Amino acid sequence: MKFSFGLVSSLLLSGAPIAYAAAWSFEDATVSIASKGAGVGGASKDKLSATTPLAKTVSLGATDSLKLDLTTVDGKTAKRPHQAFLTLTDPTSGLEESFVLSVKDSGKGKVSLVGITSNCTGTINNSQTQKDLPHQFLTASKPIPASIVIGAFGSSTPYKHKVFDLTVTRGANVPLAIPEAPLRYAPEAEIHHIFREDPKSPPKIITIVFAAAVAAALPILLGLWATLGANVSHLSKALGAAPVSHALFYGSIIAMEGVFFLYYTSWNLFQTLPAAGLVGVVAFLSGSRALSEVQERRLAGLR
Amino acid sequence: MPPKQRTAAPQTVPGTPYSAAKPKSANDAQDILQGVWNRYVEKTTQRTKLLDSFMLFLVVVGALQFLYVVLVGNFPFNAFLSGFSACVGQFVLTASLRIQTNPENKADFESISHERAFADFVFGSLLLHFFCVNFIN
Repeated sequence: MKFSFGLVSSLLLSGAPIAYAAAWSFEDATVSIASKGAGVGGASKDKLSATTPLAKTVSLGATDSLKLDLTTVDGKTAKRPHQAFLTLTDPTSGLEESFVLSVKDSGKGKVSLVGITSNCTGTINNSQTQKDLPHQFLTASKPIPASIVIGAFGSSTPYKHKVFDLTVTRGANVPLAIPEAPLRYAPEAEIHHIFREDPKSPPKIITIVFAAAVAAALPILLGLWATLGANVSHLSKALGAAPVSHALFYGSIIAMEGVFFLYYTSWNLFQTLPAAGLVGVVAFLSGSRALSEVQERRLAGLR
Repeated sequence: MPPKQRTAAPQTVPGTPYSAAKPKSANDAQDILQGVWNRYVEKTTQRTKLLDSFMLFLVVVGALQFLYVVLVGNFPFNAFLSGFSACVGQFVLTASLRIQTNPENKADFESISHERAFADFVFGSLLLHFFCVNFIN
């Protein structure tokens, strides 16, 4: 009977860890706020419970430092987990910042957040200054929930629960360095471009006036030539001597200008070039004859 | 436009040097100009004067086009360029014809007869007209 009772109890005991799943948790947790220069005794300490969050809100001032001590336990045994954090969650944006607890093999862990005006005192663990808190925490209007997160390999349930609320107060004269908003690429505002107007021709009347002025210059020129005695009297002599070449030469020059006019109005280049070539050949041949006749008359002194 | 007077080169034409044409009252600019004009009318040959009047006509037409552009702007630009360069190019061709056919320059252009110069002038003018018509497009 004793034997069987011992057997049953040992079976029960050995089966107990298998029967229920172990869960990570912590014990002997205290959060303390210490003002700078206040010494060891001036800290305000609060005990934290793994199951219920702290009722009052912990306040961290500009020159204060927050220190968290706890002992992590897996089930009933104090052990070192793989990860242990103190996580602050911004209530409005959901932004989380985690501070790593340095945990010894015995399970004892601590982390401290130091205020902005004190510097590192040479402690082994990480000391974050208030300026290491993201600026969203420094400007949070509501209390920031602080939770402990403990996780490890193995089958034990990890721990993640809120343990206290944190209020961060800044010194009034401490400037807050909010970094610039990061560069984000998004469509620009729509551009309503108004194209420059096409250039317009000038008023027709001015064009007509100037065209008339240019056209009027031509009879003036002809009149001037007539005044100078435009050698019209030579025409009969020239035509008498070599009528064909003179007529062809003069006619081919007129025809060339006519080809240019047709090119301007309707023809394209491939129609113009053969015509111009033909007229040019005629002009060359007739011109050489006509001009040699003129030369004879000039050398004879008749011009 | 009064031609440039040449003082060198013995000419068959009785081209007296410019210094002999000093008017009596040298201080009067008006008299100087009048003297230049009289000398021009007397001494230049009739054919040269025909060319000179043509060059004057080209200057007037070019000035009219330029004045038009100054007044109303140069749209379309290629039309202005075409017309203006036609005037300028024709002026240059006429000036070269004048140089080559001026009796006072006979010593410089022995090898080129007047008719050859005229033929070159016609050829150059036709080319110029073709390119200007092309450029007006």
